[in-house]
Amino acid sequence: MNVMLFVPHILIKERFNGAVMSILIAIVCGTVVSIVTTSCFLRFPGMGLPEILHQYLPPAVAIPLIVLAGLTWITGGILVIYNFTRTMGMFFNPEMNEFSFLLLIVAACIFAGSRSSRSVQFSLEMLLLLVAPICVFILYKSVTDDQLSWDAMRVVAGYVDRAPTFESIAAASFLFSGYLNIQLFNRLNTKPIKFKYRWIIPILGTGFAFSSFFIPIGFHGTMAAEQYIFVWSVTADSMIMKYGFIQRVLFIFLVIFTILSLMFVMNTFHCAMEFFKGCSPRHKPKAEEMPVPLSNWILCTVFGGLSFVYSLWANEQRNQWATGWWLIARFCVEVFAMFVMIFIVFLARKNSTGRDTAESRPKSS
Amino acid sequence: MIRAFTVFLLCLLLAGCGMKDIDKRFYVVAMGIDWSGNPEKPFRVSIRLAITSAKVESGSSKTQIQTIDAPSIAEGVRHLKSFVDKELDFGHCRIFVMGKSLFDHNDPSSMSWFARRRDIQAVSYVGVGEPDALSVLKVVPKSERYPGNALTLTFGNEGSESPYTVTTYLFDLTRRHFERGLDPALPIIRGKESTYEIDRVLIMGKRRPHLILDPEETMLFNMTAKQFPKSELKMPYGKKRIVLTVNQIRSKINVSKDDIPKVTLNVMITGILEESPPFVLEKDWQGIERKLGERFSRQVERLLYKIRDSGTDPYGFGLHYLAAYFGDEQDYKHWESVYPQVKFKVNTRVKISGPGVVR
Repeated sequence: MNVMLFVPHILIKERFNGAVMSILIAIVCGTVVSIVTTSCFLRFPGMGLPEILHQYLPPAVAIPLIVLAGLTWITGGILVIYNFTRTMGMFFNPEMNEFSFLLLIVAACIFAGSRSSRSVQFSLEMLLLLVAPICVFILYKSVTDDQLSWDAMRVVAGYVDRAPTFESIAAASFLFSGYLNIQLFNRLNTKPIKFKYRWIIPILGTGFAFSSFFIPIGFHGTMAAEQYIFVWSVTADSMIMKYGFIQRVLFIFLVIFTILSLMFVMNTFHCAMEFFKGCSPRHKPKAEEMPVPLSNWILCTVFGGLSFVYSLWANEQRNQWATGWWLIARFCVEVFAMFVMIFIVFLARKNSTGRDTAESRPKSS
Repeated sequence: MIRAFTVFLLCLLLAGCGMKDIDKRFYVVAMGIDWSGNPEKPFRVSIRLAITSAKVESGSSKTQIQTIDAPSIAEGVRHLKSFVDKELDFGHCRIFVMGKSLFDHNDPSSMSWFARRRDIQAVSYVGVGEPDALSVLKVVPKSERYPGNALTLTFGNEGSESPYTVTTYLFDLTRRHFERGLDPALPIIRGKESTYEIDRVLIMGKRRPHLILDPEETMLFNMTAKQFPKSELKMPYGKKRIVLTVNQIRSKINVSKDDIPKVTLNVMITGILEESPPFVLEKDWQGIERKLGERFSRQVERLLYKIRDSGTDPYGFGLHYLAAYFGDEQDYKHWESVYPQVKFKVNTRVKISGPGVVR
């Protein structure tokens, strides 16, 4: 997931200037933020972020906050669409017009994103299950490859004592952003559930952070890794499947990349759409709606149009700049959202209105 | 209905997206770059094109070679397109041969074309053509079943597994070219009537002239640096020779952190006898193991000193030194200054697992 937004590229650029330290800090930050926010949300079963904000805050405060969250989501989606188009244009079919390709993707995303929350959630789960084995395969393949230079990785790991940079921390903590889905999909958790397996967040996050950073360095060395923009595509291309139907691992990688990108964009479109709809306090969210209301289509089409506008403006350099800033902004918004949630939990406990009596006693971390 | 129509419209879009049929493409199977001698157009770009045919049998492969002189590789390729009737496709090109004279005259880093092109596989093989790349391309091996597959099979243990052939991938060349304390080693390909001779290696220094190892040294290099099994150990024994075929080889580099570092290379070799006078092994099992090991160590040490004196480092001792002590730029400068005085020590442990089928 993180691969598509230049996270490895940003980290590798900073590999001699504290990227390793940044990853370590990001692991701690990311884990704390995700666990705290998730536990806060779990105290409001069946409510997404818009409903919670409307219940405890005046509309003048709640609406800007919801819009902010929605904007963060949709910007992420647009950036991913653009990066995805670039990569596909680069590796799949360079002769194809970029905009007709973009149109195809946007059409798919508009359709997927405008579904009801329940469908989106189910398709997320299914796609993830489909992709996971292939991801594990590529990771296994890369770690066992004899061209992988552990010396180069050790050399870079030796730069752990350099001071971290904010951009790298923000970039690396993106790995932990998966929990953000609970902002919306908490609506579907109508029964109070206990958040089991929370120890898995730091473990998986650490694994992915280190592998997406160190494996390209192992393949391309400490110096040459920097020059690749599509680091992971080239890394996947550096592996060979001697007895596979296709020799280049790159194509398998691109398939996963496609699935993950579409999944991510569907998710962002859907969340942003629901947030913008949730701005009005009278809006009653429903988990399942068939057929979907017209407003879904309109909002998603607007998002699709925005991604066209963005790709008109962007080129490779501007896009990297924008992505860098988005990663930083997202990190700030996440931390800010965590404090807002803590504040709301505090308010809720003070009011102690009937809504949240069923909560299990918090094991606040 | 409307939805179905939209989907149909989207499919129409797909049809016009610049796809070209396979019979309108020319597949490049090997590419050669030479130094032309003309400073205006320094690169002589040659490509070997596959002529597709329905027959698949040995010797049936047909190819066509096109050559042009150009100021850069990209311009050359673009120009070459006007010489042929179909679109060139590099997606299946797995061999890049660079002429030997290119290394004397030009810095290979000016050839970023390979790395920049997205359709060129990062796992394609790179070699040095001697005397030039074009002559290597012109060889038509009789055993070829598919156009250009003779060279592909030679490398990467796909077909023959020879200890004299060093395999270097394109991404490996890029990595080693930029890496601190690790230099590229490229196989030298010589064309011979209807086959190739690939038994030497060219070690590319970063600033210094390159070094060419002879076949014997190439095998030692392949065994110790790439841990290539299926090689051999040999020594004279009386009037006869003892040859051990190697099944397994492990090597481990240790670099000490002294003022002048000392590099220890521990090699562990397992194998069975392939040629020997009868009954010798039973009499002196340990002795033969020890003697083989000592002889091998001596040879490798000589090779290491030769490599060191040329100022190159294909083993990656420098990188290993940095890795072992988490060194940074200063440590690397120190390493570079003391590398010409580094001492080497090779310890070899040979284990003979048996005398083969006969005693």
